[in-house]
Amino acid sequence: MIDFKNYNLPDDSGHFGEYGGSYVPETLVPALNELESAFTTAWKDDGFHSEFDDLLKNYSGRPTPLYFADKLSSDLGGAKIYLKREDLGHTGSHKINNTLGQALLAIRMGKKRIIAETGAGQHGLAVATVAAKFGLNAVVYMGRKDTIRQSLNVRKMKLLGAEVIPVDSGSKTLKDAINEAIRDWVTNVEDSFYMIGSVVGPHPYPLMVRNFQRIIGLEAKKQFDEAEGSTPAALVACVGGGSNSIGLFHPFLSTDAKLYGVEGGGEKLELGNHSASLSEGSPGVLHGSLSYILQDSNGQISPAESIAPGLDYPGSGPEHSYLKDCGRVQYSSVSDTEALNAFKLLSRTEGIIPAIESSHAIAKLIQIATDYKKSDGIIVCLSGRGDKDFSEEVSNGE
Amino acid sequence: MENRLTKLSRNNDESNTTLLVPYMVAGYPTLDRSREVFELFAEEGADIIEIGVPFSDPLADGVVIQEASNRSLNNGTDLDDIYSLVKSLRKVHEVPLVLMGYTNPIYKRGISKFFSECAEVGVDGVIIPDLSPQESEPYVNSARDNNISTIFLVAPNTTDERIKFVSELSTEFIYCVSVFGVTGQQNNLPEDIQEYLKRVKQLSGRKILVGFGINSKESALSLAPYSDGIVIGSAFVKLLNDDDDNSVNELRSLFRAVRQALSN
Repeated sequence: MIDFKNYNLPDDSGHFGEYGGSYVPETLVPALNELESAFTTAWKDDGFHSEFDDLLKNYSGRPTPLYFADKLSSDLGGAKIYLKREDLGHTGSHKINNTLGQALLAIRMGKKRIIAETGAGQHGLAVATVAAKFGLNAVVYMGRKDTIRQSLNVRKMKLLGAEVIPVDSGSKTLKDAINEAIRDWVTNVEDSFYMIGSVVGPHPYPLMVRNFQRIIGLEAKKQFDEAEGSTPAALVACVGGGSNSIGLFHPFLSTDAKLYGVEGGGEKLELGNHSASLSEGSPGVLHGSLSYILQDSNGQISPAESIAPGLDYPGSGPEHSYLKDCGRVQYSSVSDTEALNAFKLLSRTEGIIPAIESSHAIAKLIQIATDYKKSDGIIVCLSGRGDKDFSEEVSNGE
Repeated sequence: MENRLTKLSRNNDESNTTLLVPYMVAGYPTLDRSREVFELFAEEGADIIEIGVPFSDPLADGVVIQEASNRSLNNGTDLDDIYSLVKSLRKVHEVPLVLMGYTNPIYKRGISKFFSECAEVGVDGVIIPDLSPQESEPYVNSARDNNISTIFLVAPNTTDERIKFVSELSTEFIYCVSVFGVTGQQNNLPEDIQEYLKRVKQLSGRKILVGFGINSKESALSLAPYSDGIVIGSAFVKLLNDDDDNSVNELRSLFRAVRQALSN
C-alpha cells in the first residue's frame, strides 16, 4: 500500500509510476522544456503566488463556497452533502483557476499567442477571458459537434475576442480539437503558448494543471473542517480529462476519505458509446502521455460518446491512471440518463442548475449517499453551472 | 542476415549519391492499390521505402496523410495486413523497408512482439514520430534485439546536446524535419535550413534524411547538397486516388523526375 503522506509524483521526468511522460513530435520538446523550466521557477517564486492568489480572489471570486445542501441531504436520506461551488466562480466553472495560472506563465515567457482546445466550451471561455484581460490573442479549437451543442459558449468566446476554429476531422469533438491544437502548436511553436485545459498531455501539463486546480481541494478541506471539525468521509467528482477531480482529490490523498471519480457512461458501456476510459479502457499513448484510453484491439483510438461535451474524451490524466491502479480512487461511470435525472434533481431540490458534466458526480452521489452514516460528510465538486446546457439534447421535454 | 539499412549506409559512403525515400500510407486507397505503389517505388529505384502504418490520431501529419490514414483504417487495415504486404514485397525486392507509424498501435501490440514480427517479415527499420527519445528505451532495446534499425527525428529547434542524444538512439540514419509544422504543408523552407542540416550532419555522425513539405524536383534538388536522402510522402499520397489509373501514372512521373534529378 502506498503511503500518500509522502506522495510527491510525478517524478522529474513526469511519470506517475509507468504513466505520464512525454510522447510528442520532436519539434515540441524544446517548448516543453522551456515551459517546465518557467513553471518550476514561477512555482518557487512568492511573487508569482501573490499575483496568482490575488487574481483568484479578486478577479475570479475565490474562495468559492462549500455549501451544505440540507434539502438534498435529507431527500437522499444518507450522509450530509456539501457542494463545492466552482460554478460560482468567474466564467462559471473551475477552468478559470488553470487559465489564470497559465496566462501568468505565458506572460512571463513572452508568448502573446495562445492556442487552446475546448470541449464544452468552458475551458475555451476561460481562455478567451484571460486572453482579453491580459491582451493576448486566443485561438480556440473546438469540434464542430461541440460548437453546435454549446453554441452559447462559442458566442461568448467570440464576444471576448477569441478566434474559434471549428474542427471537422474525426469525431468532431474534444479529441479532434486537441489534435488540431497540437498541430497548430508544432507549426507555431516559437511564438505560441499551448494552454491545455485538463490534467492531460505531455509533462509538465498534468503536474502544472493539477497544481493550479489544487486550490479546490485546499479550500474544501479547510471549509469542511470549519463546518464539521473533521474530514469528510467521501469526495465525488466527475472525470473527463480529470482536472476538477484531481484538484479536489489531491489535498485529500493522505486522508481516510473515500474518493469517487465519475466518468461519462454514455448510452451504454460498449466501445464507441461511452467516455469511461478509466473504468472501461486500457493503457495506451494518446496526446503526449501514457494513460488509460479507449481503444480497439489494434490500438486505434475509439471515439468517445457522452451527453456531456466536457467528458466526451477517450483519454484521462496519467495521475488518475496511477491512482486507479493503486486503488486510491474508485472510478466508475453513470449513464447519460442518470446524469440527466441528477441534473433535474439538483435543480429542483436546491435551486442550483449544475453543468451536465457535474451532474455525473451528483448521479454517483445519489447511488452512494445511503452507504454512509447520517453523521458522515460527502463533498461533491460542482465543477460548473448548467446555463450552457440548454441544447435540445439536455433540455428535451422540459 | 545483415540489416539492409546498414548495408545501404555503407554502400552509400562509396557512391555518395542522394537517396530517394518515398512514403505511402499502407491500405490507401485500398490495400491492393497501395501494394501496386510500393512495387512501383521499388521498380523505379527507391533507395528506402517508407510504409505508413495508419493511426487514428496522427499528430505529426497534415490533412493529406490524416485523410488517407482514415480511409485506410475504414478499409480495416491493421498490422497483420501490413506484415502480409511486406512479405509479398520481400518475395521480389531487396530494397530496405521502413515502417513509419505512431506509438500506440505498437504499444498495444506489445513492444517486443512487434519488433520480432517486423524481423520475421523483413522490415529493416522504424520511424515513430511521437516516440520521444527519453521514452524510447524499451522500444530501442527490442529493436536492437531483433536487428531492426531505429530512425529518430530532429527538428530545426533541436539543441546540439539533444541532437547527440537522439543520434545515439538512431542506428544509421537520422530524420531531419525540415520545417516547423506537420507533413505536407506547402510552406517555404526556412532560410537557415542549410545551417541546420550541416549542424545535424556534423553532430550526429549519421546519414541524414530530410522530410516534411518536399513535393517537387525543385525542392528536392535544393536540399540534396546538404542531405544524404530526401523523403517525399504527402505529395505522393495526394496524387493517388481510387480508380483512376492516370493517378498512378502521375505518381510515377513525379517519382521519375525526382529520381532523375537526384541521380545527376
